Amino acid sequence: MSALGFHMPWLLLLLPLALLPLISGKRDEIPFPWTDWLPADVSGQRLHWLWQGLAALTIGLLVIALAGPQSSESLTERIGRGAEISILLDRSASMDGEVKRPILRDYQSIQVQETKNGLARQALSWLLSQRPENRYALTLFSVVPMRIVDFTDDTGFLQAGLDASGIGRGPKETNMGLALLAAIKAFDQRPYTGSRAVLLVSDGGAKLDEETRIKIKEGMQRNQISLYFIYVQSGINTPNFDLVGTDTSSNTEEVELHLFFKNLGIKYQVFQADDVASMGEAVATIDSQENLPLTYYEKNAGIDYSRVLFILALITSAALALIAAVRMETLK
Amino acid sequence: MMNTATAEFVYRLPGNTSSSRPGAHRSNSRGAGMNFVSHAKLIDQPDPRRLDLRASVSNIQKDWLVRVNKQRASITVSAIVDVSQSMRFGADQNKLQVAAEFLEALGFSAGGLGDSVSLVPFDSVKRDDLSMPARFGRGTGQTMAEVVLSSKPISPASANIDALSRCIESVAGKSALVFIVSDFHWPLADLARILEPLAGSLVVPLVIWDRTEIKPPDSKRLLSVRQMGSKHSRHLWLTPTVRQQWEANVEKRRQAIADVFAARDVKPFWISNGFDPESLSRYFMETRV
Repeated sequence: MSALGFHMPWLLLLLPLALLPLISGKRDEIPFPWTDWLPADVSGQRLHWLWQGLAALTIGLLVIALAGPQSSESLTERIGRGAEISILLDRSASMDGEVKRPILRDYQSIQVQETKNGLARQALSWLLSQRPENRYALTLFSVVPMRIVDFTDDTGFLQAGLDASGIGRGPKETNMGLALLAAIKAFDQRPYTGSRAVLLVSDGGAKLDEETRIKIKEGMQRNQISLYFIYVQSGINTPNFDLVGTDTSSNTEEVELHLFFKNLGIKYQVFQADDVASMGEAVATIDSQENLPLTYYEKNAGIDYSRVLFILALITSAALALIAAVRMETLK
Repeated sequence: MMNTATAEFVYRLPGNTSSSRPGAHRSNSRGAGMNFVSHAKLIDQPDPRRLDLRASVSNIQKDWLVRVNKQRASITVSAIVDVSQSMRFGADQNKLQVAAEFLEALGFSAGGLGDSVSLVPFDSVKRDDLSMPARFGRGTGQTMAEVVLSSKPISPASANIDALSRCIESVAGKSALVFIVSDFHWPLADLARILEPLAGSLVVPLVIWDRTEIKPPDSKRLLSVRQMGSKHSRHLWLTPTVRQQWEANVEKRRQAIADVFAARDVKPFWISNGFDPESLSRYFMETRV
């Protein structure tokens, strides 16, 4: 599966150097006038072979190590639980606004006001920490969609992306159509390895033109994507989706969007989240629904074997040094 | 180089030699010597200086008699020296240097006795380019030593017994005393046969071995050696058994060489720790009359 490759294969041309210790032992051997009266000694002969072999091995190992052997990049098929979730997070200026809460009752303590963005981030972070085996992609959108993280199961990476979305203020405009298309596009040319979902986090609706609607519908159906819309309510006056019927014609953007999603012919669910608790609840629901077994391929980087070879060469060199320490250099 | 005052040894020959040149050795020639042989008639030996009056008076035939003495003669000493690659081995002093010291002492000693010395080197062939014909004079030894020391082996191959045979043929009948200076690192099988031409001479083998080749080193354990002039190599792990075996093999070789010369009633002179002229003198004293 992982073929062996070399960083600098031409250095392997030096490999015949490893034969040098086998060819000539002249340097190691002391000229002697009359070997006939020396006893034949098997262990000495074996040790000499070992010496030659080790020397050849050392040179060979060094040459191979210098050539930089590495296994080529490989894909490992893995089966995990969890979904491929493309998170689509609204990063427009409105998301920097504070969450509107109902008027506090007397017994309720004053809560720290939180931005909608912060709320969304907290909830998403929770999702990440709960289901690290899911594979996520993160796209922020405002005027144009911005791909932050491609599909990965590296939650640290995603968390960093989420944290980054909390910095500064977003632009005023929101182009949800482009964002949805971008999120759908992220699934294109990916093998279907498990349940797919787009998690749209936004605080407002959008008017989508006919062309975009058709593209979104096609894309959603083609890629078998389920859609979760986490609607961060802007205020008391925002419409309540639960009360909206399919036949109700509404002129608010949110309702129109909701109805469009509902008629896409895919699995669609909307959550109206207005604080951490409800947001968390929404995320938990998604989590439970998109928890099917998932087959995916993990890319393994090539392993560099040269270090191992260098260490081996060091060991054989040490063995050579040991033999050299007991070896006569001269008869004098 | 050794101090020439001490580098001298005394050699003697058993029996008589035959040489026309007066010298220090007993010979069969008659002449101005001290050894009485017989009386001869004055008419036959007209040397009135040697007239023996007492013998003449008691002679029945009333002849004048002169004493006939044996004259002491000089001889030619030959040194057949192995200059092959294996002679260039040695820890403190290589074997060729030992041989050169011997030659120097030989030249000096022979010069003192009035003998001539010739040098016949060989390695894988007889080295005519290095050989020196018999010469008189005390400085001969020094020249021979220099020739031997400055020689280069003609090939890395070991000394050849055929070459030794050539050398022996060239000195046979001319030299009364022949030294064979070598480490004898060649097959001994034919040695007895090729020594036959020297039947009338005294052959003294000087077997030069370096101490490092006859005694296993005791500093380290692993020894890799290669036969000089060949690719044959041996690797030894020097256990006590291997050391013993090594020493036993050397002893066996010593015995084998001694056996060859024992047939000629000659003991080899062993050198393994530098040339000592005194011990060579003692060798001649002890083994020769």
